[in-house]
Amino acid sequence: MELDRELIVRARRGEAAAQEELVSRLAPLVFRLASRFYRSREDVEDAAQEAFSRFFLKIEQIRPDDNVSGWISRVTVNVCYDRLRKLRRERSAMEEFRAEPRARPAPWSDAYDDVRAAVDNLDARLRVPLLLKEIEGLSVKEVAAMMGLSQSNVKIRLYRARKKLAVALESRQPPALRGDVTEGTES
Amino acid sequence: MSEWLPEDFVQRERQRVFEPDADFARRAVARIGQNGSVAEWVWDYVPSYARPMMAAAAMLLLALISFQWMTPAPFPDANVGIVDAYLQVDAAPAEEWLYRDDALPEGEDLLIEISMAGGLR
Repeated sequence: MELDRELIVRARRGEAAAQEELVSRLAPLVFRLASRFYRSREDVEDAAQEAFSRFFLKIEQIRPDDNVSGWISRVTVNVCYDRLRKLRRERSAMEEFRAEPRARPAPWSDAYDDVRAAVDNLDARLRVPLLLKEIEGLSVKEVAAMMGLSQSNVKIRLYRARKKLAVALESRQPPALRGDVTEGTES
Repeated sequence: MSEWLPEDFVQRERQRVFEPDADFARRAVARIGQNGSVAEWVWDYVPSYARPMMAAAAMLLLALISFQWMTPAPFPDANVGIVDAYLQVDAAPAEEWLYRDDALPEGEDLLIEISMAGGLR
């Protein structure tokens, strides 16, 4: 995405009109990325708001020639990652005090819902690189750069995510269909 | 294309994208104006896992300083707070004098003055 140098400079100076213009241009990218990790518009918008807040806090570090789209993408992924981890901790704490057993999804429901539920159940450390790689179509190198991890670390996380997902889906499929999910090779 | 996730799932997920509404940019910039304080900028550099410990340490330090500053010493002529007074309970008068006096003599005079002050333990 080409962004006007002057726009970046003006936004760095704190001009509200330039900041608004910058947000308008970057918001579709931020929303698309956040949509990978959340299922409701409210969650996506909250994550996007926080991403732009963090982005403008660090805007002094951005040079006009920098890849601003790359910057905001990294910030967005990190915001989503932090929020997912926080949410998971809160849910774990809530479940300790839950009196009745947790409702289980109907067995062998729609395949999309099954996969989605299995993905949502993954820890954020595995889920974020998985969705960036498989749904966003990023390479391992790009995921590593975006999350501030080494490539080998990303490969390990993807491998673990696939293993966990395969086990989760295996247990939710009817016996006749078990064994359909196979482990892919790393690209 | 994903090598191992169902293609239907991948396609539906790629289509599931929320779009920002027309007012989002205005709201986002308004919120940035409210939140962009120096305090938040400082906390931004502290890793999230270290924040509770740093906050607890800061509170403890603040409490000690307040206690030391606001609470009078247990004896009237002391020019120290209660925390210093507590820590100095075991020090002999000569030791206190030795550590506090900035114009100590040298050699034999020093030994004499120490014995005059009551000697060291």
